[in-house]
Amino acid sequence: MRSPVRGAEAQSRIQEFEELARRYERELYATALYFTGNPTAAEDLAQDALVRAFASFHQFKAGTNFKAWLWRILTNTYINQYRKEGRAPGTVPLEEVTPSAELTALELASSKPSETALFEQVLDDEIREALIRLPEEFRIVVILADMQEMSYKEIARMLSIPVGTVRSRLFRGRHRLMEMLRGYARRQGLV
Amino acid sequence: MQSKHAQQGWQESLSALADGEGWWWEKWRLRMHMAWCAECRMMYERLVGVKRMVRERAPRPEVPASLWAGAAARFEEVPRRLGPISLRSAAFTGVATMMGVLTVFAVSWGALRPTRQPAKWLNVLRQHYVQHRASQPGAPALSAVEASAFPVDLKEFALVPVEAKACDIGGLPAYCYVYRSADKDCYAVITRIQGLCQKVAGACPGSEDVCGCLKGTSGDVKVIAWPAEGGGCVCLSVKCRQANLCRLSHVVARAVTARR
Repeated sequence: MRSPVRGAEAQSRIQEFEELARRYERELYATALYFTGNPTAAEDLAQDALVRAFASFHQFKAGTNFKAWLWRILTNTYINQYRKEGRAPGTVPLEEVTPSAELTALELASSKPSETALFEQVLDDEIREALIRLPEEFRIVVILADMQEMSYKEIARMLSIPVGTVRSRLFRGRHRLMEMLRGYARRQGLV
Repeated sequence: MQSKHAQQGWQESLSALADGEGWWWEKWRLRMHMAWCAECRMMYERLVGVKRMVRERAPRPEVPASLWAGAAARFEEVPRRLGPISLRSAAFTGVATMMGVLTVFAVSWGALRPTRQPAKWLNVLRQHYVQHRASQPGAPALSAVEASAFPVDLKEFALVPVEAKACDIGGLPAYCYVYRSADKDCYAVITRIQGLCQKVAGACPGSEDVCGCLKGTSGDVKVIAWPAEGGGCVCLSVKCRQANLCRLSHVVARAVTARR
């Protein structure tokens, strides 16, 4: 039988953890949703990450960056468990995306100067769809850098890749997003 | 030869500048360059625009209540950290571990017994497939499908229906029927999807004759997709929290392989 003292101890531990984690719940779930691409898997992923984080909570040093710590667990859980299971949208080899070749001077010159204003006209749902459709290599870094405002160093540590790779993937991801949204704008007659 | 602004390394530097990353001299060099290069300035502005758009406008949906409810239940199961181990507790741990190993062995063996015949699973799936085939073209919209009507009885596998809802699989509209085992260690989701088959098949070479494929054989999730007439497919996925309980889905996997 569980002793009341240990039960109370466990409860206070849970409370302490919950208090910290709930501050980031919405962002955590959103990150999981953009990683996996569907709400059911996102809920599973976020829940698994929370349970793993709670199990390692004794290793967390008070006063350090809880968000970065939690996101590291979330990202690792996704990479080690969910991605392996093939529940995420398919990935494409990096070689298939060669933005530099596409970004010719001609293309840049032909685009309207006010194109950045175009982003304001794109619907939020279209942004979500475009993010989910991004190849996984790019999607993860775009979500971590642009949505969660993490530094290149933090992302590199989370994904165990060099900072240069983060930089490269982020640029390619942003470029892909631009292309997708430009395509959408063309279809909608915005450009 | 490519011009400077069309080189990928250069463009990556512009992207990093939008994040405030890079060495000070690199930032200085880029800013100096942009002072006279309209092309790079435009590229930089676009990158800043994309970054801002994702940060400010990518939708953050409400957190489902079940996320914390499920997590809270699992927090209780997380073992507490032990202090220094005494000889008595070490002996107790040893005995408990042995019992655990025996239990795992027994459960694994039990799950492989012929009581869970592959044929039974096949019948269940076929029944499910036939039911949904009837409701494919010309059927009411997904949202109009009666939520309470669970398509398959999985009681014989100790899986009980818990939820039926419209859901989203890889951005495609679907209807999910969620079953959970009594001990909450396993659950199954049956999904009717339009248009997923190609996507799944594309990800699994050599699975042309069925629309889906078996995935994640080393992990705890199994997905089986069944072709549906008129396009789309029916999927069954089984997930268990403990690897040994996943024998259940191994049985399904073998059954489908045999059928093929």
